[in-house]
Amino acid sequence: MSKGLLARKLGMTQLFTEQGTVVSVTVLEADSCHVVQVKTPGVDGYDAVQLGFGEKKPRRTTKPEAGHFKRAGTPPLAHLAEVRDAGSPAVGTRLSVSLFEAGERVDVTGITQGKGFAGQHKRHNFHRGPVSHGSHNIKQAGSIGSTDAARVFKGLKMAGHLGASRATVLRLEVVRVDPERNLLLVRGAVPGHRDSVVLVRDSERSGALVS
Amino acid sequence: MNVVELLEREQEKAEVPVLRSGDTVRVHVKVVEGTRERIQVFEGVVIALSGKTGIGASFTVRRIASHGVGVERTFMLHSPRIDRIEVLRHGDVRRAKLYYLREKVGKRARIRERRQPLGGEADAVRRAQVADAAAGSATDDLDAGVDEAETAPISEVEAAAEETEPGNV
Repeated sequence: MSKGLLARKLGMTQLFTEQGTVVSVTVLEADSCHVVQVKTPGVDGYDAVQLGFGEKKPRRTTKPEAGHFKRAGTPPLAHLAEVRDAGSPAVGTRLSVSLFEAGERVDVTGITQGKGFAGQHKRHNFHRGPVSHGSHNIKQAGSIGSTDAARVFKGLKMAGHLGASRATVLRLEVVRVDPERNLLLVRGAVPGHRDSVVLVRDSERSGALVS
Repeated sequence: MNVVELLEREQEKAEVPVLRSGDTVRVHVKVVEGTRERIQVFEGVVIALSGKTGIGASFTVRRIASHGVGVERTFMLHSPRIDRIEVLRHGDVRRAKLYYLREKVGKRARIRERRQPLGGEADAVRRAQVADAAAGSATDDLDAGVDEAETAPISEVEAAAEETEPGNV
């Protein structure tokens, strides 16, 4: 059985360890994560728990949504996410960060920071061209194919929109759990900008530790 | 204050000395030898400060070890491995970063001691006035019948500040 939690990314900071080394951590806050619906194979065809996070105004809630939240007994929530095979917690319960404990490994999913229209160097880590000897090819992508093909292959790496896409960081260590303030401190970086909502799940990859 | 700042504030030590480049300091570091923990002293000149305030603040100390080999060590100001920091003397320097000391040997690597508080006499007078004003308001509080236990720590802090102030600021 897996477990999951929706949380808000508050930002990054550092913690001192007993040994005096410093650990960089991301602070996540799960102040309003509710169980909105429990899906079962009998009714829905699969086993999952739907989580909701972040209260929003009833005025901004559509009527179908309002009904959905009313049935769950939760306030209208702005973000919904599903976690597969997460057992059957009571609908409407508010989840706390104590779901996780320090030392555990988690996978964190979020929407990455949008970078806008980015060139090849930034988007695909291309090398730049020579900067001197009369070169005018500093930021160009280079060749995009042979004369033989007489066309450009689909999926070729080019400039375009970068970021603002869903990404998951695997196997982050939970450094500290603070149930009083509903904080989860996770080692390392997490996708998204400050105040963005991320989904924290226990890690699927539970093998030997790399670090 | 936001939560991240709060978390940082919680880790900061209640009292850290105000350091300045050129100060000669004695840093008492906790070191673990096998199973035993003891305190090791690292004495030298502060040649750089980084991150003035907050949890990320650090400082670099340079000392000349045996055989004239220069050793530099960077410490996190709020590190739990630091037991305490003594400021032995204040140096009269004109740079924030004293990296030029790396190229100097012997007599040339000396730093003159700063006897006047920084900013000259006028500044010292001004600060004395501020201190006096603060002391005055503290006694006013006493007159008003505020519990002594409350005011006592404040005056202690003030006394400590005055002791270290002339060179520190």
